[in-house]
Amino acid sequence: MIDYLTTGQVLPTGSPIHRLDPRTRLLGFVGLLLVLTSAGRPLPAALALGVTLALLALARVPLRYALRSLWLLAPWLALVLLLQLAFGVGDAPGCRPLLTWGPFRLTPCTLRAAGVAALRFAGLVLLVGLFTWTSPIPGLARGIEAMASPLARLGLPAHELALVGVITVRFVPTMALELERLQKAQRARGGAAYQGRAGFVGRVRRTLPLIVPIFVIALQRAERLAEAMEARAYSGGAGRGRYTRLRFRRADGLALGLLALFIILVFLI
Amino acid sequence: MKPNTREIAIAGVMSAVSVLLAVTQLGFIPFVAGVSITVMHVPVVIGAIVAGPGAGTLIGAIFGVSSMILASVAPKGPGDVFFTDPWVSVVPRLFIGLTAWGAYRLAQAAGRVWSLTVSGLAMIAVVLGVAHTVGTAEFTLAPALGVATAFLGLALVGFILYRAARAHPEGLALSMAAVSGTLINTLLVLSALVARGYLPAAVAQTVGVTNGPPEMVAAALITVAVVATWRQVALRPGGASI
Repeated sequence: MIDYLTTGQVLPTGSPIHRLDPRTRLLGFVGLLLVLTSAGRPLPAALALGVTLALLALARVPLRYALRSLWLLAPWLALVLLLQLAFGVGDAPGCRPLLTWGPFRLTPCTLRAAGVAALRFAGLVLLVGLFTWTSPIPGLARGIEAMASPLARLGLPAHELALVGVITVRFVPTMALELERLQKAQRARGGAAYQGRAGFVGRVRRTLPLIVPIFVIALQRAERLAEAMEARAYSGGAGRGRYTRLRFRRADGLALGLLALFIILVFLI
Repeated sequence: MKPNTREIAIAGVMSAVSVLLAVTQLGFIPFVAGVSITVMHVPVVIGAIVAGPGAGTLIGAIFGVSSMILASVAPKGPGDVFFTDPWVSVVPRLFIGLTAWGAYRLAQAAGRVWSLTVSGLAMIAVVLGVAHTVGTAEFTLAPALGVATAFLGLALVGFILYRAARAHPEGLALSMAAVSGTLINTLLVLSALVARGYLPAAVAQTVGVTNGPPEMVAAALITVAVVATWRQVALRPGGASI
Protein backbone atom coordinates (compact mmCIF):
# COMPACT_ATOMS: atom_id res chain seq x y z
CA MET A 1 0.00 0.00 0.00
CA ILE A 2 2.76 2.38 0.93
CA ASP A 3 4.59 1.57 -2.28
CA TYR A 4 1.45 2.46 -4.10
CA LEU A 5 1.58 5.91 -2.63
CA THR A 6 5.31 6.45 -2.79
CA THR A 7 5.92 5.33 -6.34
CA GLY A 8 2.97 7.23 -7.74
CA GLN A 9 0.38 5.59 -9.79
CA VAL A 10 0.62 7.38 -13.11
CA LEU A 11 0.99 5.04 -16.07
CA PRO A 12 3.21 6.93 -18.51
CA THR A 13 1.91 5.53 -21.76
CA GLY A 14 2.24 8.80 -23.67
CA SER A 15 -1.25 8.50 -25.05
CA PRO A 16 -3.36 11.36 -26.40
CA ILE A 17 -5.07 11.57 -23.03
CA HIS A 18 -1.75 12.08 -21.28
CA ARG A 19 -0.89 14.87 -23.67
CA LEU A 20 -4.02 16.84 -22.96
CA ASP A 21 -3.90 19.97 -20.85
CA PRO A 22 -4.47 19.04 -17.16
CA ARG A 23 -7.43 21.37 -17.08
CA THR A 24 -9.11 19.42 -19.85
CA ARG A 25 -8.57 16.17 -18.01
CA LEU A 26 -9.96 17.68 -14.81
CA LEU A 27 -13.03 19.03 -16.57
CA GLY A 28 -13.53 15.71 -18.31
CA PHE A 29 -13.22 13.88 -15.03
CA VAL A 30 -15.69 16.15 -13.27
CA GLY A 31 -18.10 16.03 -16.21
CA LEU A 32 -18.13 12.25 -16.42
CA LEU A 33 -18.31 12.05 -12.65
CA LEU A 34 -21.42 14.21 -12.65
CA VAL A 35 -23.02 12.12 -15.39
CA LEU A 36 -22.28 8.88 -13.56
CA THR A 37 -23.49 10.09 -10.19
CA SER A 38 -26.64 11.69 -11.48
CA ALA A 39 -27.69 8.96 -13.90
CA GLY A 40 -30.89 7.51 -12.54
CA ARG A 41 -31.70 5.24 -15.45
CA PRO A 42 -29.76 2.40 -17.04
CA LEU A 43 -29.11 3.98 -20.45
CA PRO A 44 -27.16 7.10 -19.38
CA ALA A 45 -25.22 5.06 -16.84
CA ALA A 46 -24.31 2.47 -19.46
CA LEU A 47 -23.30 5.20 -21.90
CA ALA A 48 -21.06 6.83 -19.33
CA LEU A 49 -19.49 3.48 -18.51
CA GLY A 50 -18.94 2.88 -22.20
CA VAL A 51 -17.30 6.26 -22.64
CA THR A 52 -15.02 5.57 -19.66
CA LEU A 53 -13.96 2.24 -21.15
CA ALA A 54 -13.31 3.90 -24.48
CA LEU A 55 -11.16 6.52 -22.77
CA LEU A 56 -9.23 3.83 -20.96
CA ALA A 57 -8.50 2.21 -24.30
CA LEU A 58 -7.47 5.58 -25.73
CA ALA A 59 -5.17 6.13 -22.76
CA ARG A 60 -3.49 2.82 -23.64
CA VAL A 61 -4.12 1.43 -20.18
CA PRO A 62 -3.88 -2.36 -20.34
CA LEU A 63 -7.35 -3.79 -19.93
CA ARG A 64 -6.26 -6.36 -17.38
CA TYR A 65 -4.72 -3.63 -15.20
CA ALA A 66 -7.78 -1.45 -15.49
CA LEU A 67 -10.15 -4.23 -14.58
CA ARG A 68 -8.07 -5.26 -11.58
CA SER A 69 -9.53 -2.60 -9.31
CA LEU A 70 -12.99 -3.54 -10.50
CA TRP A 71 -12.16 -7.16 -9.75
CA LEU A 72 -11.18 -6.19 -6.20
CA LEU A 73 -14.47 -4.42 -5.70
CA ALA A 74 -16.60 -7.13 -7.33
CA PRO A 75 -17.37 -9.26 -4.24
CA TRP A 76 -18.36 -6.20 -2.23
CA LEU A 77 -20.40 -4.85 -5.08
CA ALA A 78 -22.22 -8.17 -5.42
CA LEU A 79 -22.95 -8.17 -1.70
CA VAL A 80 -24.24 -4.61 -1.82
CA LEU A 81 -26.48 -5.33 -4.79
CA LEU A 82 -27.89 -8.40 -3.07
CA LEU A 83 -28.66 -6.35 0.01
CA GLN A 84 -30.24 -3.64 -2.13
CA LEU A 85 -32.47 -6.19 -3.82
CA ALA A 86 -33.34 -7.77 -0.49
CA PHE A 87 -34.27 -4.46 1.09
CA GLY A 88 -36.27 -3.41 -1.94
CA VAL A 89 -34.29 -0.29 -2.69
CA GLY A 90 -35.78 1.51 -5.67
CA ASP A 91 -39.12 -0.17 -5.32
CA ALA A 92 -42.11 1.86 -6.42
CA PRO A 93 -45.78 1.17 -5.64
CA GLY A 94 -46.63 0.63 -9.30
CA CYS A 95 -44.20 -2.22 -9.92
CA ARG A 96 -45.62 -5.69 -10.03
CA PRO A 97 -43.47 -8.17 -8.15
CA LEU A 98 -41.81 -10.95 -10.12
CA LEU A 99 -40.98 -12.92 -7.02
CA THR A 100 -42.01 -12.69 -3.41
CA TRP A 101 -40.61 -14.48 -0.41
CA GLY A 102 -41.96 -13.34 2.91
CA PRO A 103 -41.24 -9.63 3.31
CA PHE A 104 -38.81 -9.57 0.35
CA ARG A 105 -40.04 -8.79 -3.14
CA LEU A 106 -38.23 -8.70 -6.43
CA THR A 107 -39.72 -6.26 -8.89
CA PRO A 108 -38.58 -4.81 -12.22
CA CYS A 109 -38.05 -1.52 -10.38
CA THR A 110 -35.63 -2.96 -7.84
CA LEU A 111 -33.82 -4.86 -10.58
CA ARG A 112 -33.45 -1.67 -12.56
CA ALA A 113 -32.18 0.21 -9.51
CA ALA A 114 -29.67 -2.56 -8.86
CA GLY A 115 -28.59 -2.46 -12.50
CA VAL A 116 -28.11 1.30 -12.42
CA ALA A 117 -26.14 0.98 -9.17
CA ALA A 118 -23.91 -1.71 -10.67
CA LEU A 119 -23.22 0.36 -13.79
CA ARG A 120 -22.64 3.47 -11.74
CA PHE A 121 -20.16 1.95 -9.32
CA ALA A 122 -18.29 0.14 -12.05
CA GLY A 123 -18.11 3.38 -13.98
CA LEU A 124 -16.91 5.34 -10.95
CA VAL A 125 -14.17 2.87 -10.15
CA LEU A 126 -12.89 2.86 -13.72
CA LEU A 127 -13.17 6.64 -14.02
CA VAL A 128 -11.18 7.29 -10.85
CA GLY A 129 -8.63 4.74 -12.01
CA LEU A 130 -8.39 6.44 -15.40
CA PHE A 131 -7.87 9.78 -13.72
CA THR A 132 -5.15 8.61 -11.37
CA TRP A 133 -3.35 6.74 -14.13
CA THR A 134 -3.24 9.70 -16.47
CA SER A 135 -2.72 12.70 -14.19
CA PRO A 136 0.65 13.44 -12.64
CA ILE A 137 0.30 15.43 -9.45
CA PRO A 138 2.25 18.56 -10.41
CA GLY A 139 0.18 18.97 -13.55
CA LEU A 140 -2.95 18.37 -11.57
CA ALA A 141 -2.06 21.02 -9.01
CA ARG A 142 -1.30 23.45 -11.78
CA GLY A 143 -4.59 22.66 -13.46
CA ILE A 144 -6.62 23.12 -10.30
CA GLU A 145 -4.89 26.38 -9.59
CA ALA A 146 -5.41 27.64 -13.12
CA MET A 147 -9.07 26.77 -13.11
CA ALA A 148 -9.75 28.19 -9.70
CA SER A 149 -7.85 31.41 -10.29
CA PRO A 150 -10.81 33.23 -11.85
CA LEU A 151 -12.53 32.64 -8.53
CA ALA A 152 -9.60 34.25 -6.74
CA ARG A 153 -11.23 37.56 -7.40
CA LEU A 154 -14.14 36.42 -5.27
CA GLY A 155 -11.78 35.56 -2.46
CA LEU A 156 -11.12 31.89 -3.14
CA PRO A 157 -7.40 31.29 -2.48
CA ALA A 158 -6.74 29.17 -5.56
CA HIS A 159 -2.98 29.03 -5.31
CA GLU A 160 -3.06 28.15 -1.63
CA LEU A 161 -5.58 25.37 -2.23
CA ALA A 162 -3.44 23.79 -4.89
CA LEU A 163 -0.40 24.13 -2.66
CA VAL A 164 -2.15 22.29 0.17
CA GLY A 165 -2.90 19.43 -2.20
CA VAL A 166 0.72 19.27 -3.29
CA ILE A 167 1.93 19.32 0.32
CA THR A 168 -0.44 16.48 1.16
CA VAL A 169 0.82 14.24 -1.58
CA ARG A 170 4.40 15.17 -0.83
CA PHE A 171 4.05 14.39 2.87
CA VAL A 172 2.24 11.06 2.78
CA PRO A 173 5.42 9.03 2.18
CA THR A 174 7.24 11.17 4.75
CA MET A 175 4.64 10.48 7.40
CA ALA A 176 4.66 6.80 6.48
CA LEU A 177 8.39 6.69 7.17
CA GLU A 178 7.91 8.55 10.45
CA LEU A 179 5.27 6.03 11.46
CA GLU A 180 7.59 3.16 10.71
CA ARG A 181 10.39 4.81 12.69
CA LEU A 182 7.99 5.35 15.58
CA GLN A 183 6.87 1.74 15.60
CA LYS A 184 10.44 0.47 15.54
CA ALA A 185 11.56 2.87 18.25
CA GLN A 186 8.72 1.83 20.50
CA ARG A 187 9.36 -1.82 19.87
CA ALA A 188 13.06 -1.34 20.63
CA ARG A 189 12.08 0.19 23.93
CA GLY A 190 9.77 -2.67 24.74
CA GLY A 191 6.67 -0.66 24.12
CA ALA A 192 4.67 -3.30 22.33
CA ALA A 193 2.89 -4.55 25.42
CA TYR A 194 0.40 -2.18 26.90
CA GLN A 195 -1.89 -2.83 29.74
CA GLY A 196 -4.87 -0.67 30.22
CA ARG A 197 -8.54 -0.79 30.77
CA ALA A 198 -10.26 -3.63 29.00
CA GLY A 199 -12.96 -3.18 26.41
CA PHE A 200 -13.37 -0.58 23.74
CA VAL A 201 -11.95 2.37 25.67
CA GLY A 202 -8.92 0.25 26.52
CA ARG A 203 -8.38 -0.59 22.90
CA VAL A 204 -8.52 3.05 21.88
CA ARG A 205 -6.08 3.91 24.67
CA ARG A 206 -3.71 1.27 23.33
CA THR A 207 -3.62 2.89 19.91
CA LEU A 208 -2.74 6.25 21.46
CA PRO A 209 1.01 5.50 21.83
CA LEU A 210 1.20 5.40 18.04
CA ILE A 211 -1.46 7.86 17.02
CA VAL A 212 -0.63 10.72 19.38
CA PRO A 213 3.06 10.90 18.46
CA ILE A 214 2.32 10.73 14.75
CA PHE A 215 -0.06 13.67 15.06
CA VAL A 216 2.40 15.65 17.15
CA ILE A 217 5.21 14.89 14.70
CA ALA A 218 2.94 15.99 11.88
CA LEU A 219 2.14 19.28 13.61
CA GLN A 220 5.82 19.88 14.36
CA ARG A 221 6.74 19.24 10.75
CA ALA A 222 4.00 21.58 9.63
CA GLU A 223 5.38 24.35 11.81
CA ARG A 224 8.87 23.74 10.45
CA LEU A 225 7.53 23.75 6.91
CA ALA A 226 5.77 27.06 7.49
CA GLU A 227 8.98 28.54 8.93
CA ALA A 228 10.97 27.27 5.96
CA MET A 229 8.50 28.74 3.51
CA GLU A 230 8.52 32.10 5.23
CA ALA A 231 12.29 32.08 5.47
CA ARG A 232 12.31 31.82 1.69
CA ALA A 233 10.02 34.84 1.47
CA TYR A 234 6.89 32.93 0.54
CA SER A 235 4.01 35.32 0.67
CA GLY A 236 1.12 33.58 -0.99
CA GLY A 237 0.03 33.44 -4.58
CA ALA A 238 -0.37 37.11 -5.32
CA GLY A 239 1.89 38.24 -8.12
CA ARG A 240 3.51 34.83 -8.43
CA GLY A 241 4.86 33.79 -11.81
CA ARG A 242 5.22 30.28 -13.13
CA TYR A 243 7.83 28.36 -15.03
CA THR A 244 5.48 26.18 -17.05
CA ARG A 245 2.65 27.58 -19.03
CA LEU A 246 -0.58 25.83 -19.73
CA ARG A 247 -1.88 26.14 -23.24
CA PHE A 248 -5.04 24.88 -24.77
CA ARG A 249 -4.41 23.06 -28.02
CA ARG A 250 -6.64 21.64 -30.71
CA ALA A 251 -6.84 18.29 -28.97
CA ASP A 252 -8.11 20.03 -25.84
CA GLY A 253 -10.75 21.90 -27.78
CA LEU A 254 -11.87 18.69 -29.45
CA ALA A 255 -11.98 16.84 -26.13
CA LEU A 256 -13.96 19.56 -24.41
CA GLY A 257 -16.34 19.80 -27.34
CA LEU A 258 -16.98 16.07 -27.26
CA LEU A 259 -17.47 16.23 -23.51
CA ALA A 260 -20.05 18.99 -23.84
CA LEU A 261 -21.85 17.05 -26.58
CA PHE A 262 -21.90 13.94 -24.44
CA ILE A 263 -23.35 15.77 -21.45
CA ILE A 264 -26.05 17.35 -23.61
CA LEU A 265 -26.81 13.97 -25.15
CA VAL A 266 -27.19 12.36 -21.75
CA PHE A 267 -29.45 15.17 -20.67
CA LEU A 268 -31.68 14.71 -23.67
CA ILE A 269 -32.01 10.95 -23.40
CA MET B 1 -10.04 34.65 3.91
CA LYS B 2 -6.56 34.07 2.63
CA PRO B 3 -4.87 31.36 4.66
CA ASN B 4 -1.51 32.22 6.12
CA THR B 5 1.55 30.02 5.68
CA ARG B 6 1.03 28.16 8.95
CA GLU B 7 -2.54 27.26 8.02
CA ILE B 8 -1.45 26.02 4.62
CA ALA B 9 1.27 23.85 6.13
CA ILE B 10 -0.96 22.41 8.84
CA ALA B 11 -3.77 21.72 6.37
CA GLY B 12 -1.37 19.92 4.04
CA VAL B 13 0.32 17.81 6.68
CA MET B 14 -2.90 16.91 8.50
CA SER B 15 -4.41 15.80 5.21
CA ALA B 16 -1.35 13.63 4.69
CA VAL B 17 -1.92 12.08 8.12
CA SER B 18 -5.54 11.43 7.22
CA VAL B 19 -4.52 9.64 4.05
CA LEU B 20 -1.91 7.69 5.99
CA LEU B 21 -4.49 6.56 8.55
CA ALA B 22 -6.73 5.41 5.74
CA VAL B 23 -3.99 3.45 4.05
CA THR B 24 -2.46 1.76 7.09
CA GLN B 25 -4.41 -0.16 9.67
CA LEU B 26 -3.89 2.59 12.21
CA GLY B 27 -7.08 4.32 11.18
CA PHE B 28 -9.25 1.35 12.07
CA ILE B 29 -9.89 0.40 15.68
CA PRO B 30 -11.62 -2.95 16.02
CA PHE B 31 -14.93 -2.70 17.76
CA VAL B 32 -17.28 -5.65 18.14
CA ALA B 33 -17.84 -8.62 15.89
CA GLY B 34 -15.37 -7.65 13.20
CA VAL B 35 -16.69 -4.13 12.74
CA SER B 36 -14.12 -1.37 12.96
CA ILE B 37 -14.35 2.21 14.09
CA THR B 38 -12.57 4.67 11.88
CA VAL B 39 -10.63 7.67 13.11
CA MET B 40 -9.64 9.16 9.78
CA HIS B 41 -11.75 12.21 10.44
CA VAL B 42 -9.76 13.11 13.57
CA PRO B 43 -7.06 15.00 11.61
CA VAL B 44 -9.88 17.18 10.27
CA VAL B 45 -11.03 17.98 13.80
CA ILE B 46 -7.52 18.64 15.08
CA GLY B 47 -6.67 20.72 12.03
CA ALA B 48 -9.79 22.81 12.58
CA ILE B 49 -8.97 23.35 16.26
CA VAL B 50 -5.33 24.23 15.65
CA ALA B 51 -5.60 26.14 12.37
CA GLY B 52 -9.16 27.34 12.00
CA PRO B 53 -12.31 26.38 10.08
CA GLY B 54 -10.88 27.07 6.61
CA ALA B 55 -8.03 24.64 7.16
CA GLY B 56 -10.50 22.16 8.64
CA THR B 57 -12.76 22.33 5.60
CA LEU B 58 -9.80 21.88 3.29
CA ILE B 59 -8.55 18.85 5.21
CA GLY B 60 -12.07 17.47 5.08
CA ALA B 61 -12.20 17.93 1.32
CA ILE B 62 -8.88 16.17 0.82
CA PHE B 63 -9.96 13.42 3.23
CA GLY B 64 -13.13 12.96 1.20
CA VAL B 65 -11.36 12.88 -2.14
CA SER B 66 -8.73 10.46 -0.85
CA SER B 67 -11.42 8.16 0.56
CA MET B 68 -13.12 8.23 -2.82
CA ILE B 69 -9.90 7.37 -4.64
CA LEU B 70 -8.95 4.66 -2.16
CA ALA B 71 -12.42 3.15 -2.36
CA SER B 72 -12.09 2.89 -6.13
CA VAL B 73 -8.53 1.71 -6.38
CA ALA B 74 -8.12 -0.35 -3.21
CA PRO B 75 -11.50 -1.28 -1.76
CA LYS B 76 -11.48 -2.90 1.65
CA GLY B 77 -15.11 -3.70 2.35
CA PRO B 78 -18.70 -3.33 1.17
CA GLY B 79 -18.83 0.25 2.42
CA ASP B 80 -16.18 1.18 -0.12
CA VAL B 81 -18.66 0.54 -2.90
CA PHE B 82 -20.65 3.57 -1.77
CA PHE B 83 -17.63 5.74 -1.15
CA THR B 84 -16.85 5.85 -4.85
CA ASP B 85 -19.73 8.31 -5.06
CA PRO B 86 -18.46 11.81 -4.24
CA TRP B 87 -21.81 12.84 -2.82
CA VAL B 88 -21.23 10.29 -0.08
CA SER B 89 -17.49 10.56 0.37
CA VAL B 90 -16.62 14.22 -0.32
CA VAL B 91 -19.57 16.52 0.32
CA PRO B 92 -20.36 15.42 3.91
CA ARG B 93 -16.72 15.77 4.93
CA LEU B 94 -16.66 19.44 4.02
CA PHE B 95 -18.66 20.27 7.10
CA ILE B 96 -16.59 18.49 9.73
CA GLY B 97 -14.02 21.24 10.07
CA LEU B 98 -16.50 24.07 10.49
CA THR B 99 -18.61 22.12 12.98
CA ALA B 100 -15.63 21.07 15.08
CA TRP B 101 -14.21 24.57 15.16
CA GLY B 102 -17.59 26.09 15.95
CA ALA B 103 -18.21 23.64 18.79
CA TYR B 104 -14.73 24.29 20.14
CA ARG B 105 -15.22 28.04 20.21
CA LEU B 106 -18.72 27.80 21.61
CA ALA B 107 -17.66 25.42 24.36
CA GLN B 108 -14.75 27.68 25.27
CA ALA B 109 -16.98 30.71 25.41
CA ALA B 110 -19.84 29.03 27.19
CA GLY B 111 -17.83 27.45 29.96
CA ARG B 112 -17.95 23.98 31.44
CA VAL B 113 -21.30 23.96 33.15
CA TRP B 114 -23.23 25.23 30.16
CA SER B 115 -21.42 22.89 27.78
CA LEU B 116 -22.10 19.83 29.91
CA THR B 117 -25.74 20.81 30.25
CA VAL B 118 -26.19 21.33 26.53
CA SER B 119 -24.44 18.04 25.76
CA GLY B 120 -26.61 16.19 28.24
CA LEU B 121 -29.78 17.65 26.74
CA ALA B 122 -28.61 16.88 23.22
CA MET B 123 -27.95 13.28 24.14
CA ILE B 124 -31.35 12.87 25.73
CA ALA B 125 -32.87 14.33 22.59
CA VAL B 126 -30.98 11.83 20.44
CA VAL B 127 -32.10 8.87 22.54
CA LEU B 128 -35.69 10.06 22.35
CA GLY B 129 -35.36 10.56 18.61
CA VAL B 130 -34.02 7.06 18.15
CA ALA B 131 -36.81 5.66 20.29
CA HIS B 132 -39.36 7.44 18.14
CA THR B 133 -38.03 6.39 14.74
CA VAL B 134 -37.27 2.86 15.85
CA GLY B 135 -40.89 2.40 16.73
CA THR B 136 -42.05 3.46 13.28
CA ALA B 137 -39.54 1.76 10.96
CA GLU B 138 -39.88 -1.58 9.18
CA PHE B 139 -36.64 -3.54 9.09
CA THR B 140 -34.99 -2.73 12.35
CA LEU B 141 -33.66 -4.17 15.56
CA ALA B 142 -36.18 -4.91 18.25
CA PRO B 143 -37.13 -1.41 19.44
CA ALA B 144 -35.90 -1.92 22.97
CA LEU B 145 -32.51 -3.09 21.75
CA GLY B 146 -32.17 -0.05 19.50
CA VAL B 147 -32.96 2.38 22.26
CA ALA B 148 -30.73 0.55 24.73
CA THR B 149 -27.81 0.69 22.30
CA ALA B 150 -28.31 4.40 21.75
CA PHE B 151 -28.58 5.01 25.46
CA LEU B 152 -25.47 3.03 26.35
CA GLY B 153 -23.45 4.58 23.56
CA LEU B 154 -24.38 8.10 24.50
CA ALA B 155 -23.84 7.39 28.18
CA LEU B 156 -20.28 6.40 27.30
CA VAL B 157 -19.86 9.62 25.32
CA GLY B 158 -21.17 11.61 28.27
CA PHE B 159 -18.77 9.85 30.57
CA ILE B 160 -15.83 10.65 28.32
CA LEU B 161 -16.89 14.29 28.12
CA TYR B 162 -17.06 14.46 31.88
CA ARG B 163 -13.64 12.87 32.28
CA ALA B 164 -12.16 15.22 29.71
CA ALA B 165 -13.63 18.20 31.52
CA ARG B 166 -11.91 17.11 34.70
CA ALA B 167 -8.59 16.15 33.12
CA HIS B 168 -7.71 19.27 31.19
CA PRO B 169 -8.64 22.95 31.36
CA GLU B 170 -9.79 22.77 27.76
CA GLY B 171 -10.70 19.11 27.85
CA LEU B 172 -14.40 19.65 27.52
CA ALA B 173 -14.10 22.07 24.63
CA LEU B 174 -11.74 19.75 22.78
CA SER B 175 -13.87 16.68 23.25
CA MET B 176 -17.00 18.56 22.29
CA ALA B 177 -15.30 19.63 19.11
CA ALA B 178 -14.37 16.01 18.42
CA VAL B 179 -17.84 14.71 19.25
CA SER B 180 -19.56 17.33 17.08
CA GLY B 181 -17.19 16.73 14.20
CA THR B 182 -17.76 12.98 14.39
CA LEU B 183 -21.48 13.46 14.74
CA ILE B 184 -21.67 15.63 11.63
CA ASN B 185 -19.54 13.15 9.73
CA THR B 186 -21.72 10.17 10.69
CA LEU B 187 -24.96 12.08 10.23
CA LEU B 188 -24.17 13.53 6.83
CA VAL B 189 -22.57 10.41 5.40
CA LEU B 190 -25.51 8.25 6.45
CA SER B 191 -27.98 10.86 5.18
CA ALA B 192 -26.16 10.90 1.87
CA LEU B 193 -26.35 7.11 1.70
CA VAL B 194 -30.08 7.23 2.30
CA ALA B 195 -30.68 10.20 -0.01
CA ARG B 196 -28.82 8.49 -2.84
CA GLY B 197 -30.86 5.36 -2.30
CA TYR B 198 -27.96 3.11 -1.34
CA LEU B 199 -29.18 2.17 2.11
CA PRO B 200 -32.66 2.00 3.57
CA ALA B 201 -33.18 4.50 6.35
CA ALA B 202 -33.60 1.89 9.07
CA VAL B 203 -30.27 0.24 8.27
CA ALA B 204 -28.55 3.63 8.17
CA GLN B 205 -30.00 4.51 11.53
CA THR B 206 -28.87 1.21 13.03
CA VAL B 207 -25.36 1.78 11.75
CA GLY B 208 -25.40 5.31 13.10
CA VAL B 209 -26.57 4.26 16.52
CA THR B 210 -24.07 1.43 16.87
CA ASN B 211 -21.04 3.01 15.22
CA GLY B 212 -21.57 6.67 16.08
CA PRO B 213 -20.95 6.80 19.84
CA PRO B 214 -17.78 4.66 19.79
CA GLU B 215 -16.38 6.83 17.01
CA MET B 216 -17.16 9.92 19.06
CA VAL B 217 -15.43 8.41 22.06
CA ALA B 218 -12.35 7.46 20.06
CA ALA B 219 -12.20 10.88 18.42
CA ALA B 220 -12.55 12.66 21.75
CA LEU B 221 -9.81 10.59 23.40
CA ILE B 222 -7.40 11.13 20.54
CA THR B 223 -8.16 14.84 20.14
CA VAL B 224 -7.67 15.63 23.81
CA ALA B 225 -4.45 13.60 23.96
CA VAL B 226 -2.98 15.16 20.82
CA VAL B 227 -3.85 18.79 21.52
CA ALA B 228 -2.82 18.54 25.17
CA THR B 229 0.52 17.07 24.12
CA TRP B 230 0.93 19.66 21.39
CA ARG B 231 0.24 22.53 23.71
CA GLN B 232 2.20 20.80 26.46
CA VAL B 233 -0.52 21.10 29.01
CA ALA B 234 -0.40 18.57 31.85
CA LEU B 235 -3.34 16.22 31.67
CA ARG B 236 -2.72 14.98 35.17
CA PRO B 237 -1.56 17.27 37.97
CA GLY B 238 1.99 16.28 38.79
CA GLY B 239 2.86 14.89 35.39
CA ALA B 240 3.00 11.29 34.23
CA SER B 241 2.17 8.48 36.58
CA ILE B 242 4.93 6.12 35.41
